[in-house]
Amino acid sequence: MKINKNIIIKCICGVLLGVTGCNDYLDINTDPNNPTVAPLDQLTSKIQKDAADTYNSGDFWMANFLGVFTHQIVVREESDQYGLSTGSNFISNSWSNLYLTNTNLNSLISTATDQGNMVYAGIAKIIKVDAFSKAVDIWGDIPYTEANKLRESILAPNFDDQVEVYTSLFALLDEAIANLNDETAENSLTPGEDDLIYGGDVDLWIKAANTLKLKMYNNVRLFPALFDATAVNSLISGGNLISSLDEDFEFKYSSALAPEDERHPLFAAEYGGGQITQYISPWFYEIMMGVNPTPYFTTVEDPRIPYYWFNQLTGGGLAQNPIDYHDPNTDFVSIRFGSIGDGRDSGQRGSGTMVGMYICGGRYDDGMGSPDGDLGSSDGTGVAPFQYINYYERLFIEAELIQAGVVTGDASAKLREAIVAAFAKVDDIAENNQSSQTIPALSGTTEVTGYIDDVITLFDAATADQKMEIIMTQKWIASFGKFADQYNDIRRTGYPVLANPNGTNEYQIDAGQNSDGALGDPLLDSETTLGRDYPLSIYWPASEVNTNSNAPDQKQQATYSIFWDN
Amino acid sequence: MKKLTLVVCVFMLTFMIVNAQTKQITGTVTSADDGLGMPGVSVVVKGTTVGSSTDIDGKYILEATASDILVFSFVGMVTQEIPVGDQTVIDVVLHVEAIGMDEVVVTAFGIERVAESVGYSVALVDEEELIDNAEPDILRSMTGKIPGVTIGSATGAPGSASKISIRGATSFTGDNQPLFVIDGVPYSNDNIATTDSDASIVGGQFASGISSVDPNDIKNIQVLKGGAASALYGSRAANGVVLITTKSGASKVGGVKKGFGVNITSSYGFEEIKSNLPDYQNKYGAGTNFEYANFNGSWGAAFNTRDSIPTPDNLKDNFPDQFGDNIAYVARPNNVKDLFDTGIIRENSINITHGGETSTFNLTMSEVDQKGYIPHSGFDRKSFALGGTAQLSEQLTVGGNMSFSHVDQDGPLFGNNQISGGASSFARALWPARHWNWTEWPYENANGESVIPNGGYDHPLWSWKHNTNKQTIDRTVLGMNASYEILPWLTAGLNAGYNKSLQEQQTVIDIGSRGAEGLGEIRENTYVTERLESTFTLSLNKDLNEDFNIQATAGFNVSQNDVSVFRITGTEIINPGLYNLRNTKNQSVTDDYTERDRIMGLFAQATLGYQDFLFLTVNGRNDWNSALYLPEGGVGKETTNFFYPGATLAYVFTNHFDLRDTPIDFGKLRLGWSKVGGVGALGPYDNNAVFITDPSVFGVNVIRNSFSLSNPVLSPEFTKEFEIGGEFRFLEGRITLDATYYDRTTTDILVPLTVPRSTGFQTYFTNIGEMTNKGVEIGLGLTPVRMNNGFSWEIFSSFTTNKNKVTKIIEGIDQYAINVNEVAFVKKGEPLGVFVGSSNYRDDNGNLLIDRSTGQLIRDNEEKVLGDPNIDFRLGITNTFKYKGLSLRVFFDWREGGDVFSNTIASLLGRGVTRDTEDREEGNYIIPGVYGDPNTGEPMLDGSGNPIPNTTGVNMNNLYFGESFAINSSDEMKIYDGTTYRLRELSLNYSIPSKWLENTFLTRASVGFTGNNLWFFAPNIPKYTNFDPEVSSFGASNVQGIEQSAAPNPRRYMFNVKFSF
Repeated sequence: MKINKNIIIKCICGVLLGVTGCNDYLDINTDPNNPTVAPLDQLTSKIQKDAADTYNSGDFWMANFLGVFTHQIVVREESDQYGLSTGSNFISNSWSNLYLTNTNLNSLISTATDQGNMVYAGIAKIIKVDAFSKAVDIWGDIPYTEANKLRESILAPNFDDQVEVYTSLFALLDEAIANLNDETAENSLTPGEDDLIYGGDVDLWIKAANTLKLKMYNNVRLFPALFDATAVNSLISGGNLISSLDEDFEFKYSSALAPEDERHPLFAAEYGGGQITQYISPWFYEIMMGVNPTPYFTTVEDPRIPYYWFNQLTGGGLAQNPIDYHDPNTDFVSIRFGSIGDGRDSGQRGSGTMVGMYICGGRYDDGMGSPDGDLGSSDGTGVAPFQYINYYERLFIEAELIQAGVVTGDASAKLREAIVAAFAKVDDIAENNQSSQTIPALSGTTEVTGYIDDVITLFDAATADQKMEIIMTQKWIASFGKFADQYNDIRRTGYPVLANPNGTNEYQIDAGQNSDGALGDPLLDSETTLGRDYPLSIYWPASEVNTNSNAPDQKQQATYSIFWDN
Repeated sequence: MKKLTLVVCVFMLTFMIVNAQTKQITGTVTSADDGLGMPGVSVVVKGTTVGSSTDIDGKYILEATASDILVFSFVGMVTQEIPVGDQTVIDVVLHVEAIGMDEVVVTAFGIERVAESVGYSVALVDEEELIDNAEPDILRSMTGKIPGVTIGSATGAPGSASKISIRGATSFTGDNQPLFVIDGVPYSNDNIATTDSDASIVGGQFASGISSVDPNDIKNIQVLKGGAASALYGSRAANGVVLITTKSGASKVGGVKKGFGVNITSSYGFEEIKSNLPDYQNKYGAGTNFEYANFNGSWGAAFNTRDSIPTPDNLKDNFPDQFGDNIAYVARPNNVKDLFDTGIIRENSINITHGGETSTFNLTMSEVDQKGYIPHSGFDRKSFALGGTAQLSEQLTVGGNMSFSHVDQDGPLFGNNQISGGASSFARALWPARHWNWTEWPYENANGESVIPNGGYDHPLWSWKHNTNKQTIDRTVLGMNASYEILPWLTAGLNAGYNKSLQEQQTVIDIGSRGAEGLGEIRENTYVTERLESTFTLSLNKDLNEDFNIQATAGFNVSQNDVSVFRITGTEIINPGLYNLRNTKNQSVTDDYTERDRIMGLFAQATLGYQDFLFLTVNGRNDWNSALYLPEGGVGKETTNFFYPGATLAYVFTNHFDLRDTPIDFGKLRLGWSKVGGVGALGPYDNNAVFITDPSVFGVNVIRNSFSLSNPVLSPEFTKEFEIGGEFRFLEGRITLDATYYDRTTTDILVPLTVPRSTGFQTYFTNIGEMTNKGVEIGLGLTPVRMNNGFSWEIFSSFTTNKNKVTKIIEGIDQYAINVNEVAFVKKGEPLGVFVGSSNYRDDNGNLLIDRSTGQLIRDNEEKVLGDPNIDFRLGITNTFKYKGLSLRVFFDWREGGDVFSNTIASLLGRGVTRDTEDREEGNYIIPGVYGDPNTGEPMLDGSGNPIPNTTGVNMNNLYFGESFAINSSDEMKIYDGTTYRLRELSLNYSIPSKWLENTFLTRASVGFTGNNLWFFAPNIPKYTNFDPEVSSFGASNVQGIEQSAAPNPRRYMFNVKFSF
């Protein structure tokens, strides 16, 4: 029967379609538009560009709310008061980017390994370890061993235990270092300018990997089963860590808009968007101003302020709308965390304080206000890096480890080195900002030296516990914008102290602007509130929990903690 | 036919027996349609061969006795029997028969069958209904009229896409539209947009392919609903087939009036939106908690509490000479209404026909020009069609046709305004603060930029002028057909056609918009589809013996479909006012691809008739589909060809038994089973594993894995359907009933399954799942009044209900979102498109949990099923009153159920602009519920373990702007029941009596009025929002019932004039 049918078909085809057979006529399903192989260099560049987004700020990525949880940013949207919806796009976009990038990472690792191009494989593994260690820090249990195995028909990957994921990440990181050091590898192809991070410098990648390992050990230092003090000591004594500003592990955004938008995503969102979404936290502001009464914050104004944010108002002008928090002496305009005041929901596109040069390549605050109308995307460049691990961060980690008694050393000297390096980082970003503004250098100025001396004096006089607080608070200030890292630090150490909307006398500057627009309304404690507990981890994206039948039941953020959390 | 009847009757007349008791009866037979005399009507004395027929004016004369009954009959008209009695003059009005007994229906591939023998429900929409409606989109004009067929449209831009669905969906996320076949050639109804047309950053509502069809050239539309009817069309027909026959493409000699005719139709109409806008409150202006502030929401000071407010900075800064420090604080009741225009529609068409003994010719030219009620929006279609058929010899008939149409569409920007870069023109259009004098305040500054009182969106008037979506569609169709009668019972046929559509779109976001960072952006998109289709058939029709007849067709069908896409985006417009890509700073090609697929099919169908009452039809088709072939070097299993059979049985019991003395005139029972195979949503190359080259970044080239992956082992999906039904006619056609029950199951559905992102992909192409649709379709016709003076009242009701259920997805995945930005889901055990989203915590007794510190609801951390957009049933009732040349048609539509997720309602309530929130006197509202812990979602209990009732109050401002209800609420609180009663259409037509035209060159003339969407009532929608549940953001998409700041539906009034000479 079947044979007969085929004969009939062939006859009909022959008659109707000429000499070619039906199979030739129908066998046309090879895609003429897209390649079936991916060159390692193109894959590497793509991965580096995408991976930087996952834990970044901006309109799409999860640091958009992590900054609220670390109290450097305040928003009017749901993440205020630690409210977050499980369906939040910020969560799902980052989650999605993590796993879609991992597909490319796996392609790069397997192709590079097959070809013996082990430098590529090593770089891919480092990026993977960074991405997944942050994922565990944020979510806890995540799909890992069964993730990215759709080709093996795994449609609903199981969630792995968070400790096990971390354990295998340490192993993968060792593998990466071994790959980079592999002298037997053929390495017929090695990265060059396609490596947007280190331009193909293998030594720097090894330093980055070692520093990443140090960072991860520090992060789990309170979880004995994973912490390895010997390894930490040998990493530090080995000297093969990021050792200067020039060796920073970071992804540098540019000012180009086309063919793809290459600017820092936070810059694109805030300077290019129609409203301010990321306000500078008044808590952060008052600490930087040196007026926060919590012991062991400094009492002097931080010289980094004009590099960190930009005040659109000048000369004590009024905000365009009633506003929750307005310091007319500095023109700082913002909203308190947990505010229920009348001015909270006002639009302040033309008068609100905006994120500045250091964090996203925005405008350096020269005190002149916005040059022409609302601050827009032509008033800055968007050139700023996404900082994976910096030299200053390595120093802060060492200071923390010394203070925690894990390694020996002079915590005070290390802290000073760290703060000096942090100021140098601000200068570095300013130098590379490509701005038409003249941005003065900070390092070495009397202001800066005075500030650092102040901090160290305070530190030297403090108790052990207070010393840890000072280290962590200084790290928090220095790493403005590195919200995922700060979120870890706060959960691990409990520092810095965060604003408590239910407390009293939280804010020192009577900075209200009442509904008539006039200044001078006192700030009322009763105008801030908080009903929810601090989120110990973040919701898994609803899209994953909804779709993946092997996903656990959705967590409660206030109770689900990460294994290393103290 | 009329002529033949005339000849026969005249012949019979000569044998008429005259007898002494007879008297002479005279009279006129007229048509209920136009009141004109009908020539050739047979008038026979019942039970005899004695009779006559009417002359050219419809007059007759015959002899009969008082006890005789006269039978008036004419093909296609309801036969009437009238006792003579003592009458000598008997005038009769004949009515068109609903389903002609001897009517021939055209089925798949032009196969003609006697209606009686067809084992499935046939739905036909004729020319008159389409043209009278004066709706430029043929799909929309069918809304509610055909049982089992549902039509949904995106609203706003004139010409925006419509979605037609027949007997529910067969695919989760793939295209559920039927196959459109026009004169034998498939027609693409693809809806292409510069970006996603819905909720993405920049949205437009573009016309879909079918909008290029000119209703004026349509002869009829036939809907093949079930698999039994459509299976011969193969793979693409699982969702039914809409067969459109154009006047130009008719393949038969005949069916056209003999001689030369010209028909001219001219319509003029207007659209108004004002009566469908919300009822606004005019007591409070912008601000919060009864205090003025320059906000969007109207929760501020009452208008009688202050006279003036500070001039908003934007106005003062941009127009210093027009504004002082303060402006009056007064309500602007018409600030929304005055934004809109009155839409205008003009339509003109001319149709020239010629019918000869052996040839026909048709030419149709028409233009529709629509100016939307949204300023600067419009739709214009020019079309031209010509065709003819010639009988070249006794055996050979050939025909050919061509048509060309050109569509221009201009529409505004829609989309999601909340994402940076979003620039919906409706972001605030319907909910401005009540004191904004929007239409009189200037809105464009010296640099041409949008100026609004506050911030965060574009001024709608500015946006409509500057931010545009433009589209042109050029459609070319060529067709040819030939049939050759090899033997009297054997005919060979060939039909070949070519159909090309070129769609070019341009989206402009102008300098100074909220979108594109104010720098300007131009997106261009070129989309070309080309179809080539050829079908060869061999048909036989033979009486095997006295009792058995066989009618059979076998054929071979080949089609090829090509698509090519080119998209380019230019950013940063250089010189204002010039909207071409060269005037942008950077350009990048965002898409550039071509696709080709081919399908071959062998099919056969045979109907075996026993006497004239029992008909068995069997059919089968074998398909080969190129999309199932593995790519070069691909590994996997190929299942490239597949077979599917079907069978139907029709039993005309009124032909079997003599039921002449009973009220039943005609009765047929139908039974059908069918299976249709297809490749579902699988397109060319979907099973290829590829990498995607993205635009270069940082000066280097980049590549990535495709976001979608395919299972290498794919097989066709199948839809099995069982249908049972019947057609009945009672009391001389005064009651007609056509009812069908169907039960269809689609298995192995081929769709890009949305997979958890932890798989590393977005979608996975594989055979998944199962979905069932069960439904009832009823068409009931009643003629309560039919008087001899020509007055008649007819009712036609169309009832449709369909229960859809997703019965299986795939191991590991029980639900997924159809569109990640929306609440529409595919969920096992639920209907397709069910709403799943955020809700609020409740205790075990269903009480809402309340946060003690805020008095507001607490958001649940699990997403839940919240509603179902599928309509419970739809009932369309058309009342037609006719009196001589006058006819009045009233079409009432009842939609029961079908939830809607509405951003408009949430925004209207959340911004406090409608009268729903007017009574907001100071005071607190206590949401009924009990206290709960916001950290755990557990109820808080008092000392004795009892729940604590909420006593924390919220003011109305926070009630609707806070987390509980409306704008910032959970998804749950944005969903409403969409039950709607609607006066969808009212039309009044008058045919001028022919005697008035006697001395003119005209043969027919008529004038008419049609009103569309004149009234609706949706009982479960907040009253003053006036929200129409039919308003939708999604046109041709599986996401239904979701509305994201879409434009409201207008009312439409059309006047038309038709004449023929």
